[in-house]
Amino acid sequence: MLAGFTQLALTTAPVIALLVWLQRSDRRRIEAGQLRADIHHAANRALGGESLLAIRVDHPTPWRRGHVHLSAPLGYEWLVGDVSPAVLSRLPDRYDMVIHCGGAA
Amino acid sequence: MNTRMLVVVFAGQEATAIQGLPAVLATARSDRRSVRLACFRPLPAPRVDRHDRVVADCDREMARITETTTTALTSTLRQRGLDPVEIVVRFGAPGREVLRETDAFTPDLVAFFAPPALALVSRLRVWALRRRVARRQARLVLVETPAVGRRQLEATPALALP
Repeated sequence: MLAGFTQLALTTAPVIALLVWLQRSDRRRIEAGQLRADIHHAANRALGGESLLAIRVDHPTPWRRGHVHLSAPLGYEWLVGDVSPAVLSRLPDRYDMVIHCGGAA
Repeated sequence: MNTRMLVVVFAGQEATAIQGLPAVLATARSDRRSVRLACFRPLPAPRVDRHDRVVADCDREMARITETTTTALTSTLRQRGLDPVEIVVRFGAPGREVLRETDAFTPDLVAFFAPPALALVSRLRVWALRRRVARRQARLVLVETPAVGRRQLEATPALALP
């Protein structure tokens, strides 16, 4: 009886672990998507409409903090400056802001 | 709200820092932040002549490097039309000094520049340091710039720091 339960637990444990991991991963992706939408909305409000600023959000993992990437073309660094207060105020604890600069200034 | 920002520049990252500073300063300018550009360099060896006599001891070398670095960075900032910032030079083990500077300056934002793509060991060190800084209630800003080649570095005389 006990051996049967142990065998069943050992057989199903990897599948359950995989399902839990996938669920957590999906939840982190959804949270990152929501954060991206929130930041995009804040950036549009700060800049008064759509702009050349590109926003990408990487969700956090157990070994890496989440990243909010802001990319502006060369000569448009002021876009980052204008939206950064709004972005920083909305940034959760486990996220960092990453600024991508254009070519040689 | 007066927010304090610490910009960390490791030895050899001066050209990258100059490239990425417009974006960092744009971030700082928008909110009237106080910005400190901190250059971290290894402890210099005493300068000796060909007879092994000490010409300049460690303290004098540190003073010389501080003066040269500050002058070069200030003039480069001015040439590029960027706002003047406070520039400090710290000597010693970079990881330990960054943590000391973070404790002393108590910044709300700490900006790091991305290390060169190929230097795996330095990438790991900076990654570990970022995690330690992030634990001290400071928010991290990472600045990614295109790789600066050797030719581009040589073409920038103001950045030929000691």
